[in-house]
Amino acid sequence: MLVFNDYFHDISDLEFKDQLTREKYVKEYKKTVNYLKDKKIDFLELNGSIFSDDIIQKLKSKKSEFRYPLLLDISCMPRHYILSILSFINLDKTYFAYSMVNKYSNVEEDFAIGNRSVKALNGFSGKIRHQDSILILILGFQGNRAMSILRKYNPHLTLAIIPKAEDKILDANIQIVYKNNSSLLNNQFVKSKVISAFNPINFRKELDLLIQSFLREENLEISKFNIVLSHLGPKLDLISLHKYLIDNKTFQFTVSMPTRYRNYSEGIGSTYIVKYEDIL
Amino acid sequence: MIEESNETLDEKIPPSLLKAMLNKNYILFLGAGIGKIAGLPDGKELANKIADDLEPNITDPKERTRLNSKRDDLKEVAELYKNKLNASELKKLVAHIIGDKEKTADREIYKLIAQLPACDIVTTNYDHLLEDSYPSLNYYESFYKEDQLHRSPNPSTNIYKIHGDRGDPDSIVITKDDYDKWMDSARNEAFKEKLRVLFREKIIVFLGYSAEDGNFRTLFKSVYNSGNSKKSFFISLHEDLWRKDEWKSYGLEFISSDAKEYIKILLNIYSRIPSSEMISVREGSNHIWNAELEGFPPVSSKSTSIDQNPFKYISAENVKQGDEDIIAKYFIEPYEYAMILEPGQNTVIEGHRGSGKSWLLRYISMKLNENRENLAYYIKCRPELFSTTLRKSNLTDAEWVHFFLHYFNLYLISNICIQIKRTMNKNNRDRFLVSLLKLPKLDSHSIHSFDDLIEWLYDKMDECSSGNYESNICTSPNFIYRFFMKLKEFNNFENGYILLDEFDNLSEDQQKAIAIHLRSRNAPLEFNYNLNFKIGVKTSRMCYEDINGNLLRLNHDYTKVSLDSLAEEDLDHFKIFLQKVANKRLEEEKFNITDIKILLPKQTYDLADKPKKIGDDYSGFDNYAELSSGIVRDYVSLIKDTLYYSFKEIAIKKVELKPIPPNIQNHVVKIKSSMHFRNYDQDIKEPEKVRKMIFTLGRLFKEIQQQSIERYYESVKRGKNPAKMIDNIRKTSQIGILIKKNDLDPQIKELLDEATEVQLLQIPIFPRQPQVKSDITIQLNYKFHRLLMPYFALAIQNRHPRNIDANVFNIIISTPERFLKILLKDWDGYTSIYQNTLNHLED
Repeated sequence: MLVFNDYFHDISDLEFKDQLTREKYVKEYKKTVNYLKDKKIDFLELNGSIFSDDIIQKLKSKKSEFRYPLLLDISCMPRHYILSILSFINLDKTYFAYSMVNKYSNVEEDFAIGNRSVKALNGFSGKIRHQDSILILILGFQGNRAMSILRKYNPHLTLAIIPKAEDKILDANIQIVYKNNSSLLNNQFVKSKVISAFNPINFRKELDLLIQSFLREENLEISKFNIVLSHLGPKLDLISLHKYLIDNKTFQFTVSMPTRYRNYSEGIGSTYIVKYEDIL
Repeated sequence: MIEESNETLDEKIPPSLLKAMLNKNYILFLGAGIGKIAGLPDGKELANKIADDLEPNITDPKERTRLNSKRDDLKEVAELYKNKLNASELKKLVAHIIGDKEKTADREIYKLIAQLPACDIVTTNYDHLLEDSYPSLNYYESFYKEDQLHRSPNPSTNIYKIHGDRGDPDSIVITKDDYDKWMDSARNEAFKEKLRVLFREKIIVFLGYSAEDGNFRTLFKSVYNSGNSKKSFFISLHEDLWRKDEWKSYGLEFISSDAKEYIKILLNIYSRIPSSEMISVREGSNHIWNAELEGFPPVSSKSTSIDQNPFKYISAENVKQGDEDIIAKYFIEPYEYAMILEPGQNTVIEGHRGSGKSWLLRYISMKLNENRENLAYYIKCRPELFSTTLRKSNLTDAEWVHFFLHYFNLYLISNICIQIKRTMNKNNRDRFLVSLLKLPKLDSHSIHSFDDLIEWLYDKMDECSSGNYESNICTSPNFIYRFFMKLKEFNNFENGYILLDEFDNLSEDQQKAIAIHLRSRNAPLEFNYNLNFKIGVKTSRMCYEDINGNLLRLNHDYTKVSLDSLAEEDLDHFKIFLQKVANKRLEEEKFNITDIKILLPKQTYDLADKPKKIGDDYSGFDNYAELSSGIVRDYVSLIKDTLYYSFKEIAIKKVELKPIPPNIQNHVVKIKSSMHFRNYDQDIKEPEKVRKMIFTLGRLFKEIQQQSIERYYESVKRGKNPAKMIDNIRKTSQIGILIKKNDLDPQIKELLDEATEVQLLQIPIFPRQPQVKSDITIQLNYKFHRLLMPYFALAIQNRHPRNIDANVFNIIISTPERFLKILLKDWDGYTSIYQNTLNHLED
């Protein structure tokens, strides 16, 4: 069974560059649906807004119909979907597929914009106390969203983590990350560190080390601060972040919901397939 | 934190160096001493390590003796190694030793250096610790050999590694041959010339340098002898190094200080002056303002202990418990202060970011608690604690209110218990706990101490965060009143207060649930005491409805106080308040001038004689107050930077103040205005569209004003009454924007909100009657931020709102020319205003 969110139908949450792109998008959707029908592959379309948890709830109610091993393609999923779905599937029998795009826009305005709301993700509220917070931001291309989280939380100190891929082509993206987050990175209360990206196995290990060394370097006693974490980086690494959050239940994971999604990429590049248990 | 007297700092940061720092016109020269602080080998240690490696290769006893006698001399040992093995192996070995040591190095000093923005760094060190301390390659450019000089210098930091880089062992300068070649070889000429230029143009600060490198000494002295070098500074605890080479006669001044401490001092000053990009902006009258070239200190975001500017930034957020005397020291009662303190009344305190809400609430909590009849708790609404309990779609209105008020009870009580733990002695605390445990829902079996109680409350909050809702375990809305009743048994207060700060961190649904407390207006009669909320919230971020859509009633359910307002009728009150704020700071810091009106004298000129100057003057206290729209933070920041500009040394020592000439005030205001317009896009989603919108409006207002002035000039020549004409000019010089809401495009509304968020537009009119619904709501009523006026060379006096139809405003981005055409169709002189505005937009 393949499961689709039908935001293809209801595209009011998405903003297209122009009418042509919009038509192309709808055409691709129809092509996919027709292909599935032709091949007699079962699929399920779910209705609801991309911004709410409704679709996740509907999907959760269908979990008894899931067949394992499961291949979950997270390429186009919003981050809050990915983390939510991970909490009710059998992770040991799940593979994750993530397809790169051919080309990202290098203009920040092309990415999802705005900050509809900042909320702690269900199941990852952490143990938050009446004390100052340390914000850990895993940066991506959407600099204004990272900045909106920073402004909202007004943390004592922020650790900005910059994802860096070993692959030379992917590594070129890091320049976009630096450019789009330049004002955040120039803030004197933001410290930055670099982490391996598109590499869930290393990401998990390095994240732990990075956070520990950051706390040590800044002389921060962890019990005296709330730790709030947010992720805007490569989605592939989100799988290992999930594992990290499971191991660090006191941390809060925060999702910044944009006001509008836009399309900012073109084409399909390499596809990665990862098994959850390999991250352990 | 640097604890040094002003005198000591004055010696350590001489004015010429301070000026060079402000203009980023200095070089850090880092020697091996810096590496040693980090744990890298110094010359002696490196020599010994090379000798250890070489020793097994020497069989001749004479050679061995020679090696042992020279073990500490790097050049000698390197020479022996090169002769016995080869230079290439030697350099690889050195690169390996340094690289290996880097792994365990203490990087603190390099991190400190990397925090100093924009300077050139010259170093004799081979290591990568400095480069690694920058967040990315974007932050610096490194040059260690001649063929790299074609690369563009980095606008921030350029590192010149004059003795090579361990990543390219062949580049390392270590043997006698290397040193000779470096100096004599024509191949290095461009590199040497680059250094000569730097030494000629900039002030050098030598750190961790022992002056052993003959090449550098020769180079530096040759520059000095050519008569072009600037005075530089040799920072060391060893004066003999400086004396040895008679550096004094080469313009090098000795400053006794540990290198690391000195960097901290530099950083301390820079922490007040964060890195800023070159700000080159086009001011309204086409004059190019270049903030850095003007020597204008960038906006400060954090003050230091040595900073003597009385207007330095102090955030209530950063004033820790126990240091509240700072709050009282600078506190000035705002307009309508008495209303805030009124017992038996809920109060909403609204204000823009930086208007002093937190400062006021923290002061009130101290002030109220001085009287035994009162009991007040200041509680900050943290987003991380409220983002966990956003409304869930599966709850009905009633269930949601029940659930959230339970969470809110836990939030308030846990916070208050933490404060009680700090302030109440243990005996009383234990007695209070016993009494408290009689309350329903508290688990008396698992709570044995006050700490247990706090943990229990936290656990219950965590349960709520995880989304569990069971009506039978929730506390009732009245639980908070019962809790205060228990407190009353110990304090016997009459008036209880909960001072909620940053209430805008609650979602609309959360605020609607809490409205039940505001609607009840007070503790229920049975409790025999008052309990009221004083709520600090950002302007227009308060929801005045309950969950059923019923509006809260002003002056019944709550009173309302605004800490800033752009309404003309309120301006005088705010001016008096701002005058007191400034004078209090000057008095408390014991400056020779304690009246802001004396410190900021206004320009005197005759309007009738100089009508064209009408939009040019922003000097004087009144203008400063108006420019900042009554917002304390903006106002204090404006004066602060005027002082930094006028008295640069105030950043590190107390100075005698003198009235600041109007032209200087105007100069600073214009730069601040330009920075305000240029810097907003750091955290905005659609900067270009917002810029286009503001620019369209600004140019339009400017053209209207310009034409009005010209007409005025003509009228005066024809003998008309100048005073009346001046008034007309003012009226037409600016236009507020009242937009009829129904047809406004959501994306244009978003742009307006963004522009408001970053204070390019402001919401001007205080909604005295928010309950009265009309076509035009407060959110759709905007004005230009007054601080933008100098950028567009507009006058800052009277404002006259003008209705703009939403359908017309919708096209301001897509077709600005049509927008202007429609807006100006009834305006006299429409054609020239339209054409001139359009020309500027096209530019």
